[in-house]
Amino acid sequence: MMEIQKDMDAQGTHILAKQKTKEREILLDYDYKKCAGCAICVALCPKNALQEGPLQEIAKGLDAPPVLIDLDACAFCGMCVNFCPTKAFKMTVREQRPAPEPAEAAGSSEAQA
Amino acid sequence: MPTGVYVCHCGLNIAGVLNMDDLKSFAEKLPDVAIARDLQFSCSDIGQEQIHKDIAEFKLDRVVVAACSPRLHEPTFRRAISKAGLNPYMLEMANIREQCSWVHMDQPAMATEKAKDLIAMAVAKAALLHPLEPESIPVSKDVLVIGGGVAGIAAALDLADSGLHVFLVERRPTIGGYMALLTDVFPTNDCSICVLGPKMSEVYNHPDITLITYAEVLGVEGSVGNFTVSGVRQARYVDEKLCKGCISECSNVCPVEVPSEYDFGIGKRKAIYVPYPQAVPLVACVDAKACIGCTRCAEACPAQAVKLDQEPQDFKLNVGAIIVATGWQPFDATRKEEYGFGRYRDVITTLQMERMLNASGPTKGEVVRPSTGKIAEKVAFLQCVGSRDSSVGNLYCSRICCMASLKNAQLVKEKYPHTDITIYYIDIRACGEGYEEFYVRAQKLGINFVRSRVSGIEEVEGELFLVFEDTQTGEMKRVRHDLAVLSVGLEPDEKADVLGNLLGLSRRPDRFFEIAHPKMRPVEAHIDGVFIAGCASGPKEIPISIAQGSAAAAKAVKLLHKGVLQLEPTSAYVDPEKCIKCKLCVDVCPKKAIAVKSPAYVDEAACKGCGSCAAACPADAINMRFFSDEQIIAQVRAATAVKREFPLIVAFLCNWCSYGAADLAGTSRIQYPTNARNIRVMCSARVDPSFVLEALRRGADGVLIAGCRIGECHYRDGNYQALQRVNVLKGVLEKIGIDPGRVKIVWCAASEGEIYAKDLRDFIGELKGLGPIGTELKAGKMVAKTEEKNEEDALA
Repeated sequence: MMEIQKDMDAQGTHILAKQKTKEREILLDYDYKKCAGCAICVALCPKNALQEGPLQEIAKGLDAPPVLIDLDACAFCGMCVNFCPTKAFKMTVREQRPAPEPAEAAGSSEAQA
Repeated sequence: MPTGVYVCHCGLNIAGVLNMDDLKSFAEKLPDVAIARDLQFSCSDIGQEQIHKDIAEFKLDRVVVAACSPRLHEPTFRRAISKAGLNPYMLEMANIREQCSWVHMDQPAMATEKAKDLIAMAVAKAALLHPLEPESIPVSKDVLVIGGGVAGIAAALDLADSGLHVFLVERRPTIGGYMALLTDVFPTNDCSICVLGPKMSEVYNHPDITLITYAEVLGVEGSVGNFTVSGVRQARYVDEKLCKGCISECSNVCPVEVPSEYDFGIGKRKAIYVPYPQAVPLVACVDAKACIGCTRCAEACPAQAVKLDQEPQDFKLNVGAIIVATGWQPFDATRKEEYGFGRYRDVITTLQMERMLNASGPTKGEVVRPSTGKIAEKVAFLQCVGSRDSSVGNLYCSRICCMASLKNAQLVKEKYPHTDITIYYIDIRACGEGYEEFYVRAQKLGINFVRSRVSGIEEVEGELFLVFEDTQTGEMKRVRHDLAVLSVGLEPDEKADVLGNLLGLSRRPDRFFEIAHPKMRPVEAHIDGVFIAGCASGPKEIPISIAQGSAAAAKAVKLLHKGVLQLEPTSAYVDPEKCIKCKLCVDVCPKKAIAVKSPAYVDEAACKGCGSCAAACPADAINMRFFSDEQIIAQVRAATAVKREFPLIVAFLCNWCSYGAADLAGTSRIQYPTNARNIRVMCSARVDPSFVLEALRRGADGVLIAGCRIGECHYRDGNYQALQRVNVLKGVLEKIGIDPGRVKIVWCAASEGEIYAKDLRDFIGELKGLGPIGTELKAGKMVAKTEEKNEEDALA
């Protein structure tokens, strides 16, 4: 079974969720300063991985993210990114194909030749 | 043209009602009749020999048989006269059984008078018959089997082993149907998938079977021997060639879980899944409705088989025959609200029980209470849920549920000997080889049987209580159980509706597909070249479904193995001198068989003889070889020569549905008045307005035209054309002062004998209100004498 590693980090107002699998690394970047708290993402997340934070307190000045991410549940499907009206979510995918092993690479170039 | 007339007694079926001597002496006096006889059974060898002898002795060149429906014995008598050297098409039949003696049993005198008209009509038509030579057309030797359940699998394998190529189309991602999901099967309690699995892989590996799964048929054109079938293959988002069937690499990483339809909701599957480990083809499938597009599966697949950009693919097949094996669906138990299925977690259906008992099922073979996950200790089986129940519209017995519950009860008892099991039944129906013995075995195992239909299930503080009357003691009881299993009945697969409409299949009142004859033609549809196998035509056990699949295969082989098919030489033809090149015929032809290449030309192999072009042609340039204008006019004139009763109705019935309905009224002994003189035409669109006018002019009080139900025409839209012509004709009649109510068009399917009888009774009532033909002309004060003369001219 393919291994799936996840971790989460906070940098300033950015919450960075990361998923690492064998071929790619997906970074979900949630900048809560941009977030309007509309909770569209909460309603549409297919995994119910997003939850509303303390919206009333935030409205009164509390410095906290209006949306909370459940890292275990998140599937990194990117729907929140696509639907966010304020573009508070950003997703970057980095493909990292494992470098072909030297012997294999030599074999294939031989075959091509 | 010496004609022989044979009036059949059919034992007492005809002679018991009609006066045979009277009919025989009436027939003798008809023009050109050289010999008239009454025969005990004209279809018997003795009867046929008599006809044979007479043809030689009296030099007969045409024969009229007044007996049963031509739909039954026309082929028999055609064979008989061709043995005697006549052209088989020099035969005409008068239907005096299904459409006379059987439907007028209590009015023998009037029925005899009607029979005289029917015989006179047949003799008049016979005088105008011409010898016809049948043509042969090449046919496709490929067969389409729709539905990959056990019946479809049996049919496909038998066909392919006989050397015909098979296209097996299945809607789901795997073949196997419901049988693949069952645990052990009755009455031997052997494992279901163990016997079906090898057959499924045989289908997959057979060089003469093309398996098309996850696909649906969307269009069928053409006819027997040459069907063109179009359909679409859904995107499964997995490349069938690349997928190695490892089952779990992709689904393990899929983050989406949904209830599995293969476990009937008690188990879960992922958005990418293999239905079950024995699925054929063993290829994963992405459920597009559940997938969230995270692409983890694509990354995880070691064979790179996941193709999320796959698109649905159209396919087109040319086949000679089609076998419909669309199967069944379980009754939706939520419709019986009193049992609380869907509300109480411990109320389940037979199919969920099957999955629980299955060692590879969601509970790994444990029978548990869904609410607690603990082993159920007191289990109830409720029979006839959705069967034998008029409150849900299912009057029929589903045949397999008694045995299925007996089997499941035994399996539970064998696994957990201390379980208290009760079966609540109306009647135990255990008729089949080894079934009664199986029932006795269940009793010996200590399973309780209570004769009762449970009136309701209540849940109080998480405990189920069954409320019922024990009909053997008359006591009302309320008994607690851990688990209640609803023995749901079988219903026709509702997704097969589209296919039924495409093929023009008719349905019985129980909504299953109707077979051509309830006893004699168990796997044939009403449409040539289409066969029905398995539960598509009613609930059946596995062995019967297999037998029907094999029987349908044998029928298809019989039809196609020669590679050619003899056509009825009943096609249309054009008189090039008369053709005015208006192209109306091209527009009305449902088979695209006519081209206007100055003048019009009919492709006689494509023509199916509906006759709509002949009715549409404004120049009367098109005629039919078998149901010619002259023959039909002769029948109309014979029917109206002597007006034996009021109202006298000339009825035109289409061969496929309404003539079949009138025959069915006969076989069902539905009684109705004798007023109609029926003329068989291939399609209601054959009815030229001039036939109707001729009938009215000759004194018929009304004309009835009966076609297939709207949307069900066997020639696509002939009945719409008939309707349009009748509407125009009604306008013409109104203008010339004749009540348009004298022409009526009705629709009935071949299964609707009662509706045909009712339509006729209604029409007779309406005509009685109008009075004899011409009443309205005399009554109409506004109509001046001169105008009346014009009308007569118009009619002429």
